[in-house]
Amino acid sequence: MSELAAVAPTSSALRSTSRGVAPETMWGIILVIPYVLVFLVFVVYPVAYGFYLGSNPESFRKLLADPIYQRSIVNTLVFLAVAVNIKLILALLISGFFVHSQRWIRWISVLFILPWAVPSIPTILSFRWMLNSEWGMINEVLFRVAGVFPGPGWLLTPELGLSSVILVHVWKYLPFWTLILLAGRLAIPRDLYEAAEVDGASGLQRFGYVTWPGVKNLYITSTMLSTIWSLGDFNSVFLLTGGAPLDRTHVLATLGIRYAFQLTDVSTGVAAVITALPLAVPLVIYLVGRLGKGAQA
Amino acid sequence: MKRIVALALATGVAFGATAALAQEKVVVWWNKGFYEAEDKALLAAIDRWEKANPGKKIDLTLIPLNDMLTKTVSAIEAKNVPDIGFGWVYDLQSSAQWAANGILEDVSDVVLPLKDKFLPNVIPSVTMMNKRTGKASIYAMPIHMQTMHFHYWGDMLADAGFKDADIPRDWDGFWSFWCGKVQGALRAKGQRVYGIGWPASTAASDTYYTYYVVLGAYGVSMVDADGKLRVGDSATRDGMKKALEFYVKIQTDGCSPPGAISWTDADNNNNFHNRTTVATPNPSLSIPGKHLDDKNDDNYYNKVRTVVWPDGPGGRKLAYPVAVKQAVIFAESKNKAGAKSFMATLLQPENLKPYVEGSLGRWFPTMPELANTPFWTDAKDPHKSIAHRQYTTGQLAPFPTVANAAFSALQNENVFGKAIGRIIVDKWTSDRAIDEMIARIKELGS
Repeated sequence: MSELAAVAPTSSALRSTSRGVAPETMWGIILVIPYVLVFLVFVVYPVAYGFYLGSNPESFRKLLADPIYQRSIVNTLVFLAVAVNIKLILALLISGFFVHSQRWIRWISVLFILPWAVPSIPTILSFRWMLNSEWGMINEVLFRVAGVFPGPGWLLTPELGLSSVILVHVWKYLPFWTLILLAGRLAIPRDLYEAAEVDGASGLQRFGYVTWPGVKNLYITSTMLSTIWSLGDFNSVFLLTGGAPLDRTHVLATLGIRYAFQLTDVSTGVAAVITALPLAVPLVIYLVGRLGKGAQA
Repeated sequence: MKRIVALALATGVAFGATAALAQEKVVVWWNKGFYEAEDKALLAAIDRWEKANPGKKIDLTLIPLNDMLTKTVSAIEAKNVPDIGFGWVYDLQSSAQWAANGILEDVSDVVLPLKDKFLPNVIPSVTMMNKRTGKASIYAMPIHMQTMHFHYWGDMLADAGFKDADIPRDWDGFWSFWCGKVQGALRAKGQRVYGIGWPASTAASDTYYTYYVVLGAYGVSMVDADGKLRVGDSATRDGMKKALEFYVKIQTDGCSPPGAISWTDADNNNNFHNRTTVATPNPSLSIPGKHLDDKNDDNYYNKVRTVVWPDGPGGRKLAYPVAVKQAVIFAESKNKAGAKSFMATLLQPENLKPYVEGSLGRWFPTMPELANTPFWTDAKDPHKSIAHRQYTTGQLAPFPTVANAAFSALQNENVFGKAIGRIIVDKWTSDRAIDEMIARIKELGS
């Protein structure tokens, strides 16, 4: 008989089955109940309540007619397209530096991780002060070194403001994705690189034929995940520009707060956030599907 | 043994619960003061009320300014409101709309018994229209108030080669003095300073507050006492346009930091304190108050100065827009009787006095008997004495929200800051910007 043959059920299990739920199943249910309750209370209920709050069609009509909302959609798409891609491309390149094992490179990697490790609020506020057009550090240096006065308004035009937001976002989250891609690189067997070197492959060829095939799936998955997370990045905009000037640098994450608590229109605030779902949900579904295929491989 | 322990525990819980139930609770959400003395005065008033009302307890939560409106709006949405709410921004952002929508409790029975104790502008400021009943009534309780002051650094003025007596008192002369003469003189010495810190952003309530002062200087009122809009007539539109052009000119002439287009309410203070600006308007005495709190007597008594605003164009006497800070009781509050009882106690002069004075002059009292005290009238205090003069000898004007609740929404959107930004950022003409502003005022306010 095969070793994989199912073990014949014991007589006690047979007795439980015939009376109701098996003890193992009962214990499983009991141990899962706390998780289910927490999930219902802290996930299902708030999401359902959110949908209820944002279910007024008038809120969506108001949103669509508001130029600030229209601008926020554009800002969100630009933010995602530019910030995520700059971040991941840089992470891929920089991970190639940190893959080396010299001690001084490891020390640099510790410093490199600090932006991600330090809390958002003090760091982004520090950027806000550094970028202040009157007394910020950057314009102060420009004045002292090159006599530039008044200095550039880093947060004073919508274009520069959004660019500053992207810069801060990349600075903050680049270390995390660099670590992820570094782990992917380290999983590539060293002998593939040795074989490539023996065959006379250049650095670019080694990247194209060894590294990239090894990290491609991880890179694409990281890009999807970073897009989903960046869709909810509230701090970078709220703390740096606050949506200014003229509410032109809002993204959907901050716009919801503007409607809900500045304009005291909670329904429209939630509706603004709901309109991000057509972007977020397909990404999540695709990502989960991708991860599922990866697990089966 | 186990049974005895269980019985003892159950009895203790039951006693505790019974004791808690026996105590009547009044839930109070109160804006946390900037200074310890404010909160201490409030706690003392609570203590007095509780002693006078055995079995009744105030459940107090002190909430920082930035969180107050957020929490209140959330509570209203969740239909789980406190019995009393007091936020410094309620009057500017929400209470008129709440009253209009029937969210607030009528508190005439709390305020009217004290009506002879208040300054003349106070009761009208807390009288609001309820659209559901079709009647105006008192829906808020006045705690203290603010108006727009003007501060400058006396030492920077001296550094520019001028004295206090050189400051012109006419409208055009006053502004060109700071923008042209003082700024010019200091820039000639290599100082990277600006004459005036002039709020110009949609993110700052200071922007529309200052614009209201300028509107008053130009003799413009956007709404009449019955709440009817005046923005449709050409004379009002012309006045609003002139006020807007004047407002923007200070920025476009380079007299105010370019960053003012993105300022929040704290930024004109910060730019003044770090001496980026020589002078600034500010709606409260928080600027000198900071130096008093820091015990920097040199700055408070010598260097920082407060001066009354100049006369408007053509010698018109300025009417200072006054914002009365309001506590409210909600229509869905669970203990309205207890809330009214506590507020009736807090509004007594002997309780309000230490609370208002605890703010180091930031807020002005709503009652003459609290205003006409040495705390405010001592000429040795260069700031409070000026504020006293503004309130008692100047004209006081209510905010437009008092007559027309839609101005809460217009202020929240900051249509006034938007018009300013349209000209500065988008390079619109003033005609185009004013027409957009007026269209939005009509859309919400009619």
